[in-house]
Amino acid sequence: MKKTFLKSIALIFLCLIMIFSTVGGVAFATDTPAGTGDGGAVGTLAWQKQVLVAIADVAIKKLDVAENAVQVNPVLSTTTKQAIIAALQGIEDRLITYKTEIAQATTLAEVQALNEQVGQYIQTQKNAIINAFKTGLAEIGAAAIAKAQQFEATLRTTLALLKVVCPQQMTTISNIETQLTTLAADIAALSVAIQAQNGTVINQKMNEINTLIQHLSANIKTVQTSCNIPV
Amino acid sequence: MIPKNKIVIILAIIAVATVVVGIGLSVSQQQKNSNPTQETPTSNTPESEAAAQIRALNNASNEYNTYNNAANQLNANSTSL
Repeated sequence: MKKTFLKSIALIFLCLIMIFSTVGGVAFATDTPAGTGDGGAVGTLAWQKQVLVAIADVAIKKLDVAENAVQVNPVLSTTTKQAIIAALQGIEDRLITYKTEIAQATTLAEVQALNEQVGQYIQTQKNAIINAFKTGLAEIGAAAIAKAQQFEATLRTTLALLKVVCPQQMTTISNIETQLTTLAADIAALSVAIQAQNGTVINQKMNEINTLIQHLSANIKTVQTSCNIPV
Repeated sequence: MIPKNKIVIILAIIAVATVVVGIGLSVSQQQKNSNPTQETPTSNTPESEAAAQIRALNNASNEYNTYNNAANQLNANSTSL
């Protein structure tokens, strides 16, 4: 699972510390409070505060979107939703506090310290968020396995009946049996991915199973239509 | 002329028989109520059974699709971060 955005935000805060250290070299040397020294340092401080608040706003907006999407997920359990949202809300709350602190900062050194703090906070919370999402995917995957196994068992029963009532479609029925073997293998692979909480493979295998089920359903429809089996 | 005591005995037998038949009918009705499907045995043809299985198959397929969509949505949320 990629966590490019959070990683980027954390890196942006850390990089800005370095950039500001260079660009605002004079300011750091003087560390002059706003309105009490050279105008360049004051201008640099105001600009930096503006940029940092804008970055925090973008991050907060993204976190809000993610929280809302998790909240309306039709399959996730309430417990898992709460865990994911709590992890996201923790970072959002920290960023809101950070914005206030940045607005109140009067020196570049203060801004630098705040950036370090928020950057480190995001870094430490990143894994908690990744794990919360992994747990969510594993939960959906486990429920999906039950459905896929139900589909598989029903399909086996259906095939036994179709061999009796529609022997003229034996070629298609044989194809379905081959696809059924693949389905069983994919379900087993999905189960392994869930045990390992491998979000990428869980998602990949679930999509493969979904595609296979669509193909199987289409083949069954062919047999059903060919032999005038009632809908 | 039937003696009075014989009439009493006959009436008593009729009363007992009525009660026994009533109890029997009541028990029979209770059994019917507790297992109504035994009264109407189904005679599905292989075609209708196949049709029922295909309907169940389509339901399972739709339900799996719901879970798959939910997983894709969650994955998209996580990668957007």
